[in-house]
Amino acid sequence: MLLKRLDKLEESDFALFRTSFESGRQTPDNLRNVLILGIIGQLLSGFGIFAAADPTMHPEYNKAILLSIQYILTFILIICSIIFSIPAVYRNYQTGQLIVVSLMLLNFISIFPYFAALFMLVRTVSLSEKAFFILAIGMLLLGISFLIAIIVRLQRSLANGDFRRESKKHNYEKVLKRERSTFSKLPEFIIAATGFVFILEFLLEGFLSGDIENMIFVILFFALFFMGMYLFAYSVISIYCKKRFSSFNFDKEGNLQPWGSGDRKKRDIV
Amino acid sequence: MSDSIGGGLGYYSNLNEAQAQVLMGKDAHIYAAEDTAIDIALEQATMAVAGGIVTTGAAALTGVAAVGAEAVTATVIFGWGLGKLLHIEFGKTKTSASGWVKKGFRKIKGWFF
Repeated sequence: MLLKRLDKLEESDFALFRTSFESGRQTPDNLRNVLILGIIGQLLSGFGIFAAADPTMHPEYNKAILLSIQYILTFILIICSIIFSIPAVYRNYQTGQLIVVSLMLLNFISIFPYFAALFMLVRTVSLSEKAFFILAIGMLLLGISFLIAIIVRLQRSLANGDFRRESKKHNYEKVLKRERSTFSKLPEFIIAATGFVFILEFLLEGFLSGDIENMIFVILFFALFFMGMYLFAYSVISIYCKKRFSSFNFDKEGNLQPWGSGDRKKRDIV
Repeated sequence: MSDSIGGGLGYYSNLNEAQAQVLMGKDAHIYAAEDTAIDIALEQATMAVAGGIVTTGAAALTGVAAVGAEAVTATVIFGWGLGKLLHIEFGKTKTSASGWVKKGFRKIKGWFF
């Protein structure tokens, strides 16, 4: 249904989605680096979530099911990450690599915060087991409907032509420039933000009791869950483009292929 | 509340921890300084990993939120939250993940000094 509507659009309608490849941010080599980082990140979050779901604390909840869902997902993604970090594989299957990266991002920034927030909530508030599962499933359904809503909205604005190169709504040059400068300020920022987080931790420790701190944690991590869904919606369109158009892919020398070098859907029709 | 998340944060709590291990004076301060360095390094690593993953993994965003802005928000929340999770004491031995790292560090240090 949605795919059929997207199939009607032209290559030029997706111009703004190409900026992430054109600016050299999402080259296959960069994506390999992020897959390797992702393995470390997922292991770290695996430790974190085990600490949150500590089975010796509040054993009345059946947390093992949720924990094993998260661990199986993480395990599969780590195996896929290792496979798609091999140059011979990712040069030939660029779409597969982008799918693994997007799912890894979804796991790291959305599914892990969701489970961590649920476990921390259980540690802070006493809920009946039924209420806990209703909350868990309700939150998940809300997240999925949010994802679908964003994708539908994106499809509509794609059909309106908001993502064309000459679109008035988004300035193409500006977006491209912003994409190019994404990496440049990150190192300084991370160092500054670490200090900021330490001060924040001290303030929260000093002025709030552990319970209120936990509640802030739960709220922020549920917000992160929705943010991850928002990012994933854009990734879905990006994956679609990469699968359909050759101009979103890189050739053997690592250069992006020029505009109009092939459209899978059109070729099938003609 | 019994399972509220205890310290492990900052120099002061590390110093208390050291004094609880019957270390005095200079030794206690060295112990606390090492622990603080490990805390900072773990925090830094978490944030670098989160920042790197979001800035590279996210597709081109348009409109209100650029990738950079998303990464900034996600990194700060993540750095704080995961740091908190890594300081939770779990299991039968009541040791946190960062506690395990500190223990490992002491073991490796023991081979040289």
